[in-house]
Amino acid sequence: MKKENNLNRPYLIINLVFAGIIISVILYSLVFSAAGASHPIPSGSQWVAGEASLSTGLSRSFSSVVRFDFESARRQNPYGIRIFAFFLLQLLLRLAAIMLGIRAVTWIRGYAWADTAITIFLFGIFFFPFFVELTKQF
Amino acid sequence: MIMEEIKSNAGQGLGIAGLVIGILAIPMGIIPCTFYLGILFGIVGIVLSLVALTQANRGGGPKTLIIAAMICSIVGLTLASVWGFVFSRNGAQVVKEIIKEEMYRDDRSGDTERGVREVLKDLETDTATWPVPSPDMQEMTDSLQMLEEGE
Repeated sequence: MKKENNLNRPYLIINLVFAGIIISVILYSLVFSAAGASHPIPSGSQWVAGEASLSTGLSRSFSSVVRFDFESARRQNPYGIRIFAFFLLQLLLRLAAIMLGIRAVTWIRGYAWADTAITIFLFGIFFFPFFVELTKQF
Repeated sequence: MIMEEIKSNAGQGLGIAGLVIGILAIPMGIIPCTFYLGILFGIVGIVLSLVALTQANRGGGPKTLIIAAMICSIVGLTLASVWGFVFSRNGAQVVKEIIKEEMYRDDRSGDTERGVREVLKDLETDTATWPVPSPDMQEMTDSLQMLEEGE
């Protein structure tokens, strides 16, 4: 009796979508520069409360990072480099998962659990200073 | 003879869509500037998960992925709503301060108006005795008259 691994296809699709989203974020940062301040996505905090928030300048910071201008990236938003690094690592993880999904390895379930744990761990590590500052807002 | 295990895929497509949107709702909900996208994604994720769950129940499909999608969507929506609440409160505070400032200004202008009338009365009395009003005094009188007329 042949049992098909029913996790392979959804896992592959999810990883393909996320890889696409992260690549889109990088392309968005490449298209819109920090100097022009022409990012089309409005800041919600400015829009509702009329005030800058902890994430203000994050898009501009990403634009600076993709241009390797780390000083400007830090100036635009102090958490920009860390958050961008998280997305970059995620892209690598997604690409690895896509490769495994295409090869249809039998241990994909174990890899998916490890991937989830690593992602949560990285999320905590890279977003920790941001969370600390966030808690001060309340 | 090879027997393939036939498993229903009912609700899987929508479940995957719900999971992707639900996972996206979490960082969107955490980042203050994109809280509105977190709310939107959270709601869409919950709706997709509910539809997927209904389809899975009817067709006997697996539910693990759909439940994960629903949990992620709810977490994302909750985080985004917290920011929405904080910003609305801050926004309301800003509006209140503006209104208070306006009221204070109105109150002060009321005082000024009363003051202007008194000063004008004094000036009329004083300047009546002067042969020619000094340029400064004339300017002041004109300004006060303009103020009184509300120009």
